[in-house]
Amino acid sequence: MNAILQFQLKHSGNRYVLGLTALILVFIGWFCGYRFNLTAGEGIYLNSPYTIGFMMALLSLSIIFMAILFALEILFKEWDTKFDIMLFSYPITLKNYLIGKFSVFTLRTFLSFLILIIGFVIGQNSRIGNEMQLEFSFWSYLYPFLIFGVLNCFFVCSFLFMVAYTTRKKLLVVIGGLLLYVFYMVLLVFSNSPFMAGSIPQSIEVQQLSSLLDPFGASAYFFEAKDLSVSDKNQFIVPLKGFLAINRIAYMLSSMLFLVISYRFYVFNKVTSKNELKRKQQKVKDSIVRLTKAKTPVLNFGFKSEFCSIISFAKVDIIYLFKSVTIVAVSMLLVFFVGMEMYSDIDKGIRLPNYYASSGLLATSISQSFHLLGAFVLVYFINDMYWRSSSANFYLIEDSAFFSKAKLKGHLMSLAVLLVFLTTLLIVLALVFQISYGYTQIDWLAYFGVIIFNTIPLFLFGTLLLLINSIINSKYIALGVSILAVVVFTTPLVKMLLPYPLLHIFSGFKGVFSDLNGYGAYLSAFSNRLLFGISLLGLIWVLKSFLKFKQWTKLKSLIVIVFFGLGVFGGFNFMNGYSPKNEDSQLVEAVNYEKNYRHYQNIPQPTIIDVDTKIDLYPSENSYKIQGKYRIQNLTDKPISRILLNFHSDLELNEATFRIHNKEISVDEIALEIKLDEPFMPSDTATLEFNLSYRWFAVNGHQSFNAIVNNGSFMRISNYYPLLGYQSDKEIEDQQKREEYGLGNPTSLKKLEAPEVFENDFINLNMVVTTESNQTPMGIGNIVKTWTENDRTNTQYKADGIPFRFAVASAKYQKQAIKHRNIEIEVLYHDMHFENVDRLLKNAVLNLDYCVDNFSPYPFEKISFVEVSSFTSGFAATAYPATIFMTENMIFHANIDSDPSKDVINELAGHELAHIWWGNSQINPDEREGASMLTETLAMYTEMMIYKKMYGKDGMMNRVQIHQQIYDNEKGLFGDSPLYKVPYGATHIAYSKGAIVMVKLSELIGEDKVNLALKNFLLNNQYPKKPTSLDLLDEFYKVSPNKKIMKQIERLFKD
Amino acid sequence: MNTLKITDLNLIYKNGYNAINGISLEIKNGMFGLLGPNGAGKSSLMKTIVGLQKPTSGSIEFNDIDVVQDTDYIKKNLGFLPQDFGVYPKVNAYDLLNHIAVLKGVNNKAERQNQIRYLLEKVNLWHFKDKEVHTFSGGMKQRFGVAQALLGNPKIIIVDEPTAGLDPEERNRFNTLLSDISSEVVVILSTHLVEDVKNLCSEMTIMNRGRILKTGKPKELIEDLKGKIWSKFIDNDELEIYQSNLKVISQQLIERQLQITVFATTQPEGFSPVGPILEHVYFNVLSQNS
Repeated sequence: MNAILQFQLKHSGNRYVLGLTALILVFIGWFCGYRFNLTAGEGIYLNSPYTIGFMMALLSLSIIFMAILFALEILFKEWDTKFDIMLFSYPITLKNYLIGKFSVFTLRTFLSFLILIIGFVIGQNSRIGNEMQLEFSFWSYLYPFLIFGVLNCFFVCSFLFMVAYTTRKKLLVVIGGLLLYVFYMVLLVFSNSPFMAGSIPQSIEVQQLSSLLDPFGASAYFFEAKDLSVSDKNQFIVPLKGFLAINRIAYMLSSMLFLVISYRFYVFNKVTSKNELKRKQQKVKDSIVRLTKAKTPVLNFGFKSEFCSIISFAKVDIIYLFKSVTIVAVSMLLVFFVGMEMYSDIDKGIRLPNYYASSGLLATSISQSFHLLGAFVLVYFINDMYWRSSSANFYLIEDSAFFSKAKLKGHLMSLAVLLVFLTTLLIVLALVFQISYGYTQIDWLAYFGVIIFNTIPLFLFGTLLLLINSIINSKYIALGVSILAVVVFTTPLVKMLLPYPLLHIFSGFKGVFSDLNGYGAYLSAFSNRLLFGISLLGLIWVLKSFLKFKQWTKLKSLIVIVFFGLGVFGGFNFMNGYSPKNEDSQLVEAVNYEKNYRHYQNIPQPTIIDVDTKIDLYPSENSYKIQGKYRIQNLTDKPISRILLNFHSDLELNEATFRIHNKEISVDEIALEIKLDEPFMPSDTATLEFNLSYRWFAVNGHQSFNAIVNNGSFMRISNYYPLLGYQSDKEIEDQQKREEYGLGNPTSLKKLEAPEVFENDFINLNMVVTTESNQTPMGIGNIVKTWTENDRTNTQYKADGIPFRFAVASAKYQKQAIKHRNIEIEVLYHDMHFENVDRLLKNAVLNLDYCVDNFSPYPFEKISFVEVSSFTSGFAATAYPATIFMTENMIFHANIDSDPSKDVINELAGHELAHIWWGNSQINPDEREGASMLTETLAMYTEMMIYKKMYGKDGMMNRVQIHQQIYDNEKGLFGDSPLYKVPYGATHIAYSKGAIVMVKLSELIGEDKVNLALKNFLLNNQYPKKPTSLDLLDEFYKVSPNKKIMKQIERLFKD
Repeated sequence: MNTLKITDLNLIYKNGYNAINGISLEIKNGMFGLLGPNGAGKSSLMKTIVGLQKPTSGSIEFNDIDVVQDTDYIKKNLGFLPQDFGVYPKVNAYDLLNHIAVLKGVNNKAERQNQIRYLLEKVNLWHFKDKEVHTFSGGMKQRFGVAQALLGNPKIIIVDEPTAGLDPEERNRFNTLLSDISSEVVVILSTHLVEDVKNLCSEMTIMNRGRILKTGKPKELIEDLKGKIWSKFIDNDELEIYQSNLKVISQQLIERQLQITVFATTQPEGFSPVGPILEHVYFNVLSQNS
């Protein structure tokens, strides 16, 4: 074996370091495989041969990064250690030397990439979801590894090898690598690659050119794959022919050429620039010593000098930092990593179109990854910075100067500069994304959040690292402790180790940013915690400096007082309203509730028939108040002697009075049994008046469905109203825990075959919603009146005969409305989210026409589409009588133009509006198996029919195809059941299978017949009947022309 | 007049090595030579004086202020050129000197600029001021070290092996510079080059293994050896016999022939008298204590 190679392999580094590096690479690979959702196109699985090839090409970019690091270490070793003079005096030929060097350099790069890919394969195959197909194919991974991994490794290494040995400049190696990356990115824009989804479609010629030029072969890959069908891409590899083959061969030949150039133009001696030469040749001048000229400056050891010293330390640090190649490499890594994160946050996969590249979205992408990466970057830089003086052996000089004591403060300042640099870099990256995706509305508050949630906590963490390094006497032990500090303080582990939230001063914030609400209450709460953190570290700093220098000054006393004051102020503000989560006590509470009250399932209870309520919203205080009055009636035919009243534990029960038979019973417990002296006779009425209030604090976090926020509040508020009788949804679901507490079986879902039910449980709702004067209060049902009083806006809503299910919202809205069929259709939206408003109104008209013409008249005077903030999550839209609430970040503000075939606005208009017929007021399915078929499946049917109207049958079938994929995938993961017995929560059955079955049904008997059956279903199953899926099947059978078809229908729903 | 007074100084490292063993010295303005072989404890003594390490016991006073307790005081008045120092990579000579000047309390920018320029010219580095110091050759780096030690307004200058790596011309210039400055400040010159001490120092001490072996004025020490130093050319295989019978203080090859020098109150047979030089003092003291 080549002697150089043999020696280098033997001495390629500490095996612990190598092991750790391999572990880190496996982790990064695993993370890419497990987390990244870079979908290559609609309907293409993440583990399809096509996507794997595309990911492999993309991941092969990381070879640049690895190769740069190895090039700096391996290729410059002889010069760095000044061993070159000796080495070249031995009888070794240049050719052998270069072969040895190139082999070891390429081998290490290749092995690192291989380890990364192994991690990737493990990560990708450990994920589940509807974007994965079930089979594992080894060839799908090996083939792209050969054509991208191996060849790109050879290419990058030979290119950098050439740069290194023909110039002997480390900086040029880094720049060369960086240029390769940039060159590749630019080409990708012209390759029509799915990676650059927002780019303008390019002509075939341009695509061909970029296929030839792309050194990584990805453009050629896309070009060769452009004619493959979705199922081809899912099944077969992209063959190595045409442009792909030419590209790969061309770059292999160029790599060989680079090696020849390295040999022919190898530089033995470092190139000396003309200037350097001039300086070197400088004649010794002024050799006569003139001592009379000696200057003795005045020394000053006061505050100003100390300040100058701090600046001077920082300046030296920064010169070193920004001249080093590490900062270039780290910046590249950060930009690459966060850039990928941004891209995958914009690209929403097969079902949804792209999101707009808004400041909020990108700022959140930065916060997702910057904090942890930044913490690791700081560990390296601070350790390097702190120990540089001693590792460079300069400390003897530096530490003997008076102001050497300013060193730590100098490093602190350098830390700040480094963080400002990295933050600016990422914000500029986000702005570049915004501009290149054509979304130029810049929200600086979002980017300000990046500073508060990342930069400042990282600054505090950096301060901690500085203290660690200054306390521990060994560079490597300090490094180890620093890494431990990252794991303990900046990962979710901190919540387990330090449960008290005030102490999480080094943590970042990975929450939402809403265009409506910004960062909400979290920004100020976080700032208060930072204030506490700054003060705490400040005090530790002063204490440490006192212990070291044993000097106490008035200034120090003042600093201590100020820090103490600020710390107490910040700490109290942050912890205000803190209520620790105690899962054990919550469990015990649920157990007790079930044990004490489950027997109420068999005791007749009265029914709420009228709800008269006033809801005062205080968005700026994150609070609301409820006054309510229920009229309650015994609708059973038995006398009732005991009533169970439930109040929600999240709300404060200020006052409640139950009035019956002219008696008043005051209620002050959240679950209360009222035992009546005189029974509550059938048809008798009673009232319950109550007064509730709610406020949330950032320290505890907000509830997604009870999100009273500064702008864009949404509350499923009926969930928080008092309820009568036993509430089975409070039961614990975990079977093991149930057994542990001796609870027996939980309340099960009613069987489909259970007896038919008629139940009078609809309410008449009379609701006044009030809010701050600059906002619009939104409720459900028809508007009775709107007025302003005491600087508050009030609106009265009324809806008769609806299920006990209502919600409210409040925000500063823009409004656009049209009138159609004498129904006001309005969209209330945030002024930045205007893009899809017209489309939504148009779709709503189409849908309204369809439903009214085919099913039944629309039962309200208006339809409101109301946007709410992303502080509410868990749905894209939710329908209530006459009002549909949509979250800002799911569908309503998606970039439909990026892919017009994914018209998700139709889902809002088609699907949600259809719920007015299917599930909200016209019919009320009984809570049993198959209930979702009467709501979600029918809404999906309506959505599909509207889609057909707008985009033709092919357009609709494309959507059905996507649902088929979702269903096929998820049934393997979450189980299957016949549609007519769909359980609650099985969305892949109710939605996806439902859509497929209904479209098939419409093909079988015709759309008109389906609609006729649906119309009859509405007519024949009106409230108070509680229909089941069997009732709907009956209607389908009735319209089927013969027995054979009937059998087919039965199979559709019962298979 | 500045005075450095060291009393009963001891330094024992954590590993038990006794680097400084009961040293007492009083040094006033002028050049003080600290002579000793490698490992004698010179560097340890210097680092202790400048406050980079604390002594195990004993005291060091500079101008009557205990600088073991108040290291700030000595740092305010110090110029220090350590042996074998390194520099920050990537930083040029001017910036690094500027950094040290600031740390020494020269906060007036103009004064700082003047002094740096003056010193860089003095050590013949002005034309290399923009060059990164870590790329300097050994001699250039040493000159840079000299310049940084003279920055500010030091009242005590401690230089450890300052002329190592300097060519004869540079060494001369440096020595002249030091000698001139020493009239107003304390200069402690640590070296194993006897010649430098002879040329420059009015007072000197010889130390080995952490102890002081002899202190005095070079002239007087040489005077003491008058008529007691003898030399002879011998064959290599005779060395052992001479060593066992006489007090051989040094041996050297002259034109490939071995010459030994011995200390004796009377002339040994076959030896010729030699006029004593400082080197003889040094070797004599060392051999007496070996």
